[in-house]
Amino acid sequence: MHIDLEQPILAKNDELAAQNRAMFADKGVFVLNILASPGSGKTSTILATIEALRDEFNIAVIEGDIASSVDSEKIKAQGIAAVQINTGGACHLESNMIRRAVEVLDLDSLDLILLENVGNLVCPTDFDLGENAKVMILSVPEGDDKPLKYPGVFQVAEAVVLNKVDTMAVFNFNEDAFTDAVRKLNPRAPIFRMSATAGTGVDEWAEWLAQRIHALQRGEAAKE
Amino acid sequence: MQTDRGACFLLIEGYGRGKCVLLADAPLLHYTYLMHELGLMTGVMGVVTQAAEEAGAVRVTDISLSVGEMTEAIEDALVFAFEALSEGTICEGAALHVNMGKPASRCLECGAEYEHDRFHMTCPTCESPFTELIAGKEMKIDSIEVDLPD
Ligand SMILES: Nc1nc2c(ncn2[C@@H]2O[C@H](COP(=O)(O)OP(=O)(O)O)[C@@H](O)[C@H]2O)c(=O)[nH]1
Ligand SMILES: [Mg+2]
Ligand SMILES: [Zn+2]
Repeated sequence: MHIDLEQPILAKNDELAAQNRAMFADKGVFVLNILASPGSGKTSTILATIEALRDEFNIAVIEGDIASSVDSEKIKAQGIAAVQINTGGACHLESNMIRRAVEVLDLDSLDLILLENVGNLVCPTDFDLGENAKVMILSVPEGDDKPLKYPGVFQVAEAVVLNKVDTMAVFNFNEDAFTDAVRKLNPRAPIFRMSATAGTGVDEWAEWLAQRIHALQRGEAAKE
Repeated sequence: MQTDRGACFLLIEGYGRGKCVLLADAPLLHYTYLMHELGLMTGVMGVVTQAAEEAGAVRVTDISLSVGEMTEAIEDALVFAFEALSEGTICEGAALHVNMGKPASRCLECGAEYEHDRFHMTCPTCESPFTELIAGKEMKIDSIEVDLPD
């Protein structure tokens, strides 16, 4: 017997993601899903972003890691609310994890939630969490050929951060080749050259994010 | 199992589901350990098993999926995950057909619709970068074939 199913494989994740998105919109919180490899500087970028934007916005961080709470300890040390999700091995965050993580945050008082996804350039790209935007970070030591090897993540990102530009010379990074490959996959995403630890380029990146948050907040006001 | 795309496909025993709390109050939240394709196939098996049982089937013989090439799912890994997960279930021995869908986009400036590979999204007609993906991201269970009791 033939049975037609016609069902999305990720139906459950997508449904919960849509609920998350509606909840974030209702509360006027901008949620940023950060995708990158382990060690590329996600946590460092989050810390730099907090420094740049904390006077203007109320920020919380959700840290996704396979194990440990090292990263959220660093965020908490800055006096910023941090929720740690340990996926226990799963290679990406899913929308049900986000739903439970935000239960312990005061969404009414927040403007921005930064989500550090599990370090991985593959799996997280297929999982909608209900975020407003996905961004990806590539660090110079990973090499300029990564857009060719992991096209998916460069394609879904609304902005690309090229981190650790202070190491460009040491790693023989061909920035033109990198930019060219990113442009072919994703012609519209801005590329921010940054050194999260040295603080270079953080302002441009933070300005882009602030504009996105303002746009969301204006949209909110217009509806009321 | 490893591929050059860097995903891993090992099933390790799951953790219980803890409570999610602000860090000050640890314990941490744990989630069942399922790698990418295993996670995807677990969802497929759930839907398929339910549909087969509702139909009163004794066996699932075929499962057809559509997976776009712009997703991160790999055909071989899906088959591998399916074989690992279906053992001892109503789906054991079923043939898994994975139809890998070609990516396609529509140009927002000139309206052209075109197929492309994973790497080139730009409009081939007017070279505009303003395009939207219309196919290639799908991950869908199309249909199944089941045996009913005689
Ligand atoms: N030279 C340099 N090192 C950096 C930069 N950003 C991060 N790092 C270092 O890279 C390592 C990994 O950073 P981390 O933020 O923990 O990466 P994550 O695993 O992606 O969260 C740490 O030792 C950081 O100090 C940078 O811009 N330049
Ligand atoms: Mg980190
Ligand atoms: Zn065109």
